[in-house]
Amino acid sequence: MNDMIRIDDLVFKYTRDDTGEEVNAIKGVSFAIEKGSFTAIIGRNGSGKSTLAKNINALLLPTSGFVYVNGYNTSIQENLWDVRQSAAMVFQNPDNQIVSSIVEDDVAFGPENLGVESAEIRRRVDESLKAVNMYHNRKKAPHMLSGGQKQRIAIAGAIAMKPDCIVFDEPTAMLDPKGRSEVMAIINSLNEEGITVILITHFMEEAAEADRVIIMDDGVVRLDGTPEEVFSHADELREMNLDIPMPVELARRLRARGIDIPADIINIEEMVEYLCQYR
Amino acid sequence: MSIQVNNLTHIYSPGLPHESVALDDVTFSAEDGEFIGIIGHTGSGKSTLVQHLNGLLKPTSGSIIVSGTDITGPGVVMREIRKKIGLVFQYPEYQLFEETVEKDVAFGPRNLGLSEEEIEERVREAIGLVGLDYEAVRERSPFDLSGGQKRRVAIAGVIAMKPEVLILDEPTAGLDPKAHRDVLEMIEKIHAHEENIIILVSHNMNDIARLADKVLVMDRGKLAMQGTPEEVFAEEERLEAIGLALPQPAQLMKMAREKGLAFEGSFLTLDAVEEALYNYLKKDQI
Repeated sequence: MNDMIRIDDLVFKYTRDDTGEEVNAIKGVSFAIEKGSFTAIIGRNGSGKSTLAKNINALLLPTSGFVYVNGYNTSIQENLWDVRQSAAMVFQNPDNQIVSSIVEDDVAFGPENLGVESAEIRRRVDESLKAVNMYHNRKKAPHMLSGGQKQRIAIAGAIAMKPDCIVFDEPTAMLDPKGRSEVMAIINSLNEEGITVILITHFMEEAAEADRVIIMDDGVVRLDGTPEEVFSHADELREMNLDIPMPVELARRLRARGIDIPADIINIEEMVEYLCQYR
Repeated sequence: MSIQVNNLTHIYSPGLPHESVALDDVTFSAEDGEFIGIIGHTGSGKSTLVQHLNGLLKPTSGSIIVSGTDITGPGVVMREIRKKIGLVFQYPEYQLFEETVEKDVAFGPRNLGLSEEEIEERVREAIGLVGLDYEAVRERSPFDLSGGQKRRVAIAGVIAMKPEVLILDEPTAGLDPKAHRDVLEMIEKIHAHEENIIILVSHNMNDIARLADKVLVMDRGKLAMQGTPEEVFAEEERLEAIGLALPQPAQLMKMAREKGLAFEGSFLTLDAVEEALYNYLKKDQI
């Protein structure tokens, strides 16, 4: 059993409060996510990607189909704690997920709720804050910190639950470039330490760092593969109103003018390496 | 219309232990029809600066001359200033409050004391300019719209005041790629239509490089650099010291230069890079 997450023919429908209209947010999605992998999920607003993420964390339950997290079926009420402890979630706006007025209290909130004994909580809080480089700020008030720092506190709160998997829902959308790179560095290092990462993002450069990219559109999976495979479908991505990474777009334009460029160039480093061969 | 900012300094909590200099001797000007881009880190003073330009904050020292009037002086009627200078805050959709899109957009013009016909005309025009269908959205609740649409409604509320200077503080933050492109196209369209001064605060260097006539770089309260995008982005090392990145096309060419490839120029756009690489590669390949 090497799947962290297994999703079987997931359908999710809800009724809009204002109009009473039924919305088909997810229309039959199946895939599995391997333990220890780093998967990016991309799609425009309304494509169903955040709804999918909330189904992984049992914040939402399938209308039909199944979601298994670490083998636990999310639809079974008794599994709720196991599901949430296996897959933690970090949201877009750090201000909406910080509950305490002192950094270390905030990080302790999750493990306290799990009933972890206090010496162990102390150890987890310290470790988690060190992992996100915020240990020196442990006594500070979260509102005195920058957006990137607050998001790192939220991540520390997730790590302190000792989850096997963390689902990040656009964690960098509200951050400046420095905050974004801080958070991406933390995400990468958590993945290297063995945590399964699911990253929902609008930034193609971030998706290019993943092992696997899943493109959602209109409630279904449209593309699924390595970043190289997925970004080679430039026309389809454009038709879904998504961007492609700049080096991929550049390669595509040059190819159209008769230059022979390998299809696996997806970042700036690889493009420069390719250019150097023709020095 | 012109704005002349002279030696603007703003100190938060002067005399107190947590006194901090948010703006330190900032001087620049903006002329009719100019598109100004402001870049800098969170905390560099960008937002403090733009809040001075429409009189939300008063400087500790220095002056801001808007078409001949010093708006920092005593006895200035702020309503007159805010008529001329519109500020769209970060995440402006959080400020929507009315029952319908039409009422929300009409709120500003109504406060200006315009006639009902004039208000309706302006609301219709502003909603059209932000790329929404007036008839389709006017009676809808702004809260039922998508994130990108909400933001357009909020921006329409400012445009309906017909400001001669339109300041936008990170108008594309948090939007998906499509909504991001749409909002920028909308800003270009408004700029072309109203021929106003645009001041765009952004973290996106690609957008600033493509759109701005003049770029202001803020760093720890100081105006660290100003010039055309070509001038500013040519100073790679200074930008790096401040912690700002180059536009992506320029990053690529900088890295190529560091590997010993001879590419001369500023390469701010993908088109420029495409042309240079095509010429470089075709020698060997075609």
